[in-house]
Amino acid sequence: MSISLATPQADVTLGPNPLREGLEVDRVTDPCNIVFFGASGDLFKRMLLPAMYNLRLGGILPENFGIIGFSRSTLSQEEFRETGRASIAEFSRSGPAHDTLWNDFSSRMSYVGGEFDDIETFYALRRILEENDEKLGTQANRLFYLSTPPSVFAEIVKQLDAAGLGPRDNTKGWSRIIIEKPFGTSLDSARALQAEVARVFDEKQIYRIDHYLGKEPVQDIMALRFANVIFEPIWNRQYIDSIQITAAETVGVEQRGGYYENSGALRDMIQNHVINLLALVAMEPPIRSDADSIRDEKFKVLTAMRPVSQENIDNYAARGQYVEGNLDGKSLPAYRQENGVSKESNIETFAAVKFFIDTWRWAEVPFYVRSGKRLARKCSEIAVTFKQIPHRLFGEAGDHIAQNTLVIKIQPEEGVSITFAAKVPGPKMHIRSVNMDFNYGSGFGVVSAPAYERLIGDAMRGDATLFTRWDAVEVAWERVMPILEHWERTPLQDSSRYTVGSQGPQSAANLLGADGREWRQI
Amino acid sequence: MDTTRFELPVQHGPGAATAATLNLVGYLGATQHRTAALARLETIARKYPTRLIVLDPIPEGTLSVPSSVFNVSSDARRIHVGVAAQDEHQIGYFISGTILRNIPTVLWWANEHPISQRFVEEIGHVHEVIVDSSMHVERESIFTELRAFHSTFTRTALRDLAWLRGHGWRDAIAHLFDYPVARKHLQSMRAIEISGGSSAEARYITGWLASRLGWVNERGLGFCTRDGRSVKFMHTPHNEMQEIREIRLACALANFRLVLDTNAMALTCFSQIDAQELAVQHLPFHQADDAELIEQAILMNGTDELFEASLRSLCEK
Repeated sequence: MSISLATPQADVTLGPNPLREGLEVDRVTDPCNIVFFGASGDLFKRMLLPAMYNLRLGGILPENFGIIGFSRSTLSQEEFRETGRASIAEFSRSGPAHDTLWNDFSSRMSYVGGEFDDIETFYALRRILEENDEKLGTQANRLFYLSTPPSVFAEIVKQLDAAGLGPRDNTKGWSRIIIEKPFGTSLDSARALQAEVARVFDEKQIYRIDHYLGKEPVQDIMALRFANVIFEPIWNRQYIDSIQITAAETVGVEQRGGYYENSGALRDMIQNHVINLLALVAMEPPIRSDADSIRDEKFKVLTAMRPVSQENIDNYAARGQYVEGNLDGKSLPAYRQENGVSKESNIETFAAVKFFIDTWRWAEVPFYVRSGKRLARKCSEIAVTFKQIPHRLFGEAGDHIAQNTLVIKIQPEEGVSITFAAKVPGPKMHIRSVNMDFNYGSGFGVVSAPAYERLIGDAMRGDATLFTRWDAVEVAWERVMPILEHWERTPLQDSSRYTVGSQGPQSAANLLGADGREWRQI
Repeated sequence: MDTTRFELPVQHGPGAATAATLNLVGYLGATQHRTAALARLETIARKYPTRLIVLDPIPEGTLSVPSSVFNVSSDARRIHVGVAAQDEHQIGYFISGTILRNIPTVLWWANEHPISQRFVEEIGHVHEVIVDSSMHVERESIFTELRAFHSTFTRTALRDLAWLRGHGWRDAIAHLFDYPVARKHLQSMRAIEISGGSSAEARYITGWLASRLGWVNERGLGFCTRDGRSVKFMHTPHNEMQEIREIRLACALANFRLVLDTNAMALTCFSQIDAQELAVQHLPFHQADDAELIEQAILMNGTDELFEASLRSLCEK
C-alpha cells in the first residue's frame, strides 16, 4: 500500500505534534478549499489571489489547501493559472512568484467556468472539491468567497445549497462563506439577502467582509482606547466637542460607472466602512476581546444612533456630485461624463451626514462623517476634536490656541497624531499649536500586511471579530434609508456640485457651518 | 567622571515635536563584525524613532568627548561614543544617564566578549538584551554563560540571533511531523545531521528538538532519549555558507531531508517512510538578515519560552 504525506490520517492515539508547541500561533491548522466566486474580476486579481499567495509565503496557509476560481468567463485551467501568476507579479507585495513555490501553489489551483444559476456548474465545483479532499487532503473544509456583483449573491448561495455544498450536507468538515460588501442595496434587499443566506448558513458561518476593518489603524482604535488609561476618561461628552470621520478618494468611478449608478457614496462607503469606524470609536469597552463581545458593543452603539426624520434630512445630511476639473495636473471629466453613467444622474459621489448617539457618554456630541470621490487628496481618518479650554489664562497670547485634536490616520498614512498647545521659546508668552505624530511604518519599522490577507486568514481560522454581524448591518441600513429615500425623491441642487480636486460641495460645508464648525482640510 | 555634562542637542525646529519608542544601545566589538553591526544599528535607527547609543571601541575615545553626536532624522537621535579606554562601570553609568526614561531599552551586545553582567547592572533596567552566539565560534561555554545571565536578570528578555535564524527550519521540521504518518516515527529519531550555519545555530536546532521530545543532555556528549538511546548529532560547517543549507533527520524506520534551494526562498522536503519515498514537498522559506532579526527581537513581547527551554536543554548536565 502506498502512503502519502499529503493525506493525513486521523490517528488520535498519536496526540498533537509536540514540535508545534510554542511555534508561530498564526498558522492555520485546518486544511481547506477556498472557492472564489468572481475569479475573473478585478478584486480577485488585484487583492485576493495575491493575498492567498502571501498567506502561503508567510506560512499561514496550511499545507493542505485548494484554491478554486469560479466565474462566468471561459478559461482553461492553464489560462487561469497563467493569469494568476501575472496578477501576482503585478500586484503582490512580495513581487513576482518564485518558480518552485509557484509550481507548488498553482498545482492546487483549479477553475470552474459557468453561469451562477447553472446547477451543472455547481455540480462540477462539487466534483473538484471532493477530488481535492481526496488528493490534497483538504478534509471537506470549505470557505466560499463571494466577490461577484451583489446581484448574484443570493443565487450563488441558493445553488450551493441545491448542489449539496451547503453546511447541512457537509458533515465531514466546516463550511463558511465570506460575502463582499455591499450587503444589499437597501434595507429591504439586505433583509431579503440575509433571509436567503441564513436559510443555508448559520450566522456563525457568515463572514461579511469590510476590508477597512482589516486595516492596522482601524484595529488600533481598540488598543488606543482600551490599552491606555489617558484617553478613556476624556472619551465622552464632557471633553469631546465633535468627531469627524472622513473617507476621501481621488479616484472616480473608474470602470464601475454602471455599478455606481445603483450605489452612490452613502451606500458604497458610509453605510458600511464609515459606520463601522464610528461604532469602534463610540462603543463602550467590551467585556472581552472575543468576536461576540466586541460585536455586541458595536451593535449597541449603532442602535443608539439617532434616526434622522424625513423632514430634518437637509439639516443632517448633504450630498454632492463632481463636475469636471483638475487633479494632479490632469483634466478630469464630470461624473455624468463617465462611462456607464447617465447624463442626468442623480447619484451622489459625495455624502456627508451628521449623526448623534443618544447615550449617556455621547449625548449631543455630533459625529460628522463624509466620503467622496475625486476629492483633493486620498485621506481616511478619524478626528476627535476636544472642547475649548474653559478659561483663557494667557489673554491675547492664547488667542491662537486651537482645540486639542486627536487624529487616527487610516490611509494613506497610518498612525496617530495629537495637536496640543505649547509656548514658543522666547521671553514672551506666545502660544502655538504643535503636532505630535506617531506613524506605524516608522514607529514599529514594519509594514502592515494588506487588509485582505488579515481577513482571509481570520476567516480560515474561524475568527469573526473583524467581520460585520447581521444585526449591525441591519441597523446601519435602518439609519441611512431615510436619507437615501429622500435623495432619490429630490433632484441634486446646484450647491451640491463640486469640482474635481476640491474639498467637496458647499452643501457639506454648510452642514457644519450651521453648527459653527468646519470640516478638516482634506 | 561627570555624566551630567552630556547633554543631547535638540536639533528640531521650534514647535516641532518628536517621539522616541526605544533606547537602542549597541555595544560593538573590534573585529570584522563591527562594520556590519554598525550598519545594522543605523538601519534600525532609520526605521524607528530611536535614541541610538553606539558604544564603539574604534576609534579609541573617551566618554568626556563623544566622537560624534548628531541627528539621524527628525525623530531619531544618535550618540556615538568611543569606549576602548573605559571600564564597564564607567560606560554603564554613562548609559544610565543618557537613555530616555519610560521607554524600553534594548541592548545589542554585538561583540566577541562574554556579556558583562556588571555593565548591564550599571545601566539599570534593560528590557531586552540581544546577543549573537554565532559570533562565539570558539567558546563552548556560550550557552552556559547565557543561561547564567538569564538566571540573574530575570526581568530582562534575552534574545539570540543564532536562535532566531533557525525559525524557518524549526517550522519546517515541525511541518514534517504534522502528518500522523510521519509523526508516529518522531520519538524514534536517532540522528540529526546539519550542514551549513554556525555551530550555535545547529546546536539550537538540536536543543529545541531535545526540549520538545524530552531528551536528556549527556554532559556535552550529545543527547539520549527517555528510553536511553543515544541521539547522534553531526554539524558540518561550510566556510562559504553563512546559513544552514540542509538538515537530515534519521528515525528508526523513516528518514527526512530538508534542503534549502539556491535562492534561499524555498525548502524542499524529502521523506522516506517504511522504505517508501513520498511525494516531494516545497515550503516557502524566508531567511531574514540580521537587521530584520534584530527588529523581530525588538518587536517580540515578553519572554521566549521556546528559546529558554532550548537553552536549558543545551546546558543541562
